[in-house]
Amino acid sequence: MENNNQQPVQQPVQEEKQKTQEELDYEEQLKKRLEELRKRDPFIYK
Amino acid sequence: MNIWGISANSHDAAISVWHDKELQFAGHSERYSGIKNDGDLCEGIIADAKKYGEPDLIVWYEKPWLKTVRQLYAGQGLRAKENNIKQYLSNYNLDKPVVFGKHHESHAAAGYYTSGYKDATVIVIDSIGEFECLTVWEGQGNNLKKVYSQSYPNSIGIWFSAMTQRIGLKPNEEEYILMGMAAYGDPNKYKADIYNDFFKTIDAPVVKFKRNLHRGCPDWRPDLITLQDTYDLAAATQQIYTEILQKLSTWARSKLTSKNLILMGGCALNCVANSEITGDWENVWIMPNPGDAGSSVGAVAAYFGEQVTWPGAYLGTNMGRKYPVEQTIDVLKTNKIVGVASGRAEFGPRALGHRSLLADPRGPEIKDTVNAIKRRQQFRPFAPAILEEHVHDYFDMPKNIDTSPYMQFVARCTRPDEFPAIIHKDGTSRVQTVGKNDSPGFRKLLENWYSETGCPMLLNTSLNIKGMPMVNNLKDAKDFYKKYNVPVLS
Repeated sequence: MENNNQQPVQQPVQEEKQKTQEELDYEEQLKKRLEELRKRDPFIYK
Repeated sequence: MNIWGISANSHDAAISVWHDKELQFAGHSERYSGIKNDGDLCEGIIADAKKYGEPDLIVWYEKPWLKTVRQLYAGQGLRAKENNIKQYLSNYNLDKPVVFGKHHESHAAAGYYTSGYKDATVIVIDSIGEFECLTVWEGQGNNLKKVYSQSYPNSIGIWFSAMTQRIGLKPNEEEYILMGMAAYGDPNKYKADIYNDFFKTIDAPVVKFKRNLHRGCPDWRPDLITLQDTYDLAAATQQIYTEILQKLSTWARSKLTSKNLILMGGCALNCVANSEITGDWENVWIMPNPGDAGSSVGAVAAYFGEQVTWPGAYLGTNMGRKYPVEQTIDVLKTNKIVGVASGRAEFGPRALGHRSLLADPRGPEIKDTVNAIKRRQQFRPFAPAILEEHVHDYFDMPKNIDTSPYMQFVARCTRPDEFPAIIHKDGTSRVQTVGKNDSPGFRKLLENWYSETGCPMLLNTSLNIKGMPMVNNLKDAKDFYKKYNVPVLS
């Protein structure tokens, strides 16, 4: 017979990896660059 | 008769000088102006070119009026004035008769007529010139016949540049960095998304796109913003490009008769993808400057319409002086790292020993030392230059490739623990083989280094100040020394 009182198996919690300052800086720079490109609407090639 | 080939007024301006069908000089404007990828001519390169003869005739690498039409069609406005090439040349006091080639024909001719092959299939992949973006040619004797052409806006090169820009790099300049970053990402994570969102048809030789990427795609998937996303996008882009090239190669090999392949256009600098198609062919030739700068040579070769003698890649500024073999070895033994600026500069984007920062490739610490000097991202690898006859002792070369004098292929290193500095994240190296017919001075340096150390290779990277083009002359070499305190021998 099935034991309905059984506690669900605890799933290991995946801890989100702490971002390094370098990674955070990178994201900020990339966001800025893409924002700049959206405003400029440049052609890549002449 | 002296003929000058010129590619300029766009990006990577260059001049070639010919005397009676002999190539005497070929140089990049950027090396004289100090502006990376300089699209315009400058006084320095013109003065240097004139040392080999004033031009009687100038061959321009493309058709400016056709480019003007394309620019109008693309929404870039009417640029007829800017494309007035006689006026452009007159600004540099080059008031000579001018004939005009075609953009892709100049690429194809630069490859075919310098190859020495009696027949070949030529695949040209670039971003955009006039209208054509992908062409396939059949070379037979002196005849070069176009057998397939695909036009703007269906451009593999523009797509690759748009992805380069999407990950925060400079389009039309830093595509090679995307290629290096690819090794750090998962190619499968966003491959399907890129295929679905950008490609309409890939049925070689037809490659069509769902949207015109001439303005880039900065809005595409704004959620992908982390460093790892960047790596994954780079990996997917690189993998898709490789798959397209493989399909084009398979199609060309099955439909056309030649067993010799010539790859040209800026995309031919993708050494990772190049290495995946060599097995389809008995021989592969990629002229060391397959992009627009190389079309300064190709335009004249197309004008002649016949095979020319390829003199090797050392065609630029001549610093003279004997190659400093013994001094270089002395410094390498004590300092492990040394700059060399000697003889004629390389024509093409790779330093091949004449404008090189060289290092002892053995041991774990040298990569960080060179990186500290070059101040570049850690993920970018350094290349090995190796005596040609030893290459198979250290590297698994791509199928049917025994020599790689211009660093156009990658190979897996079979002794990675001994040479971590020259191995990329994916275990490969962009190998330069140095044979007896290549630079005699650089060859002698490697021979002597081998006889003294038992190591037949050196780490070889370009001698340049960060963000600047390669060192060109003695003054540049002194500037490099002042900036980085690394001796430069000449």
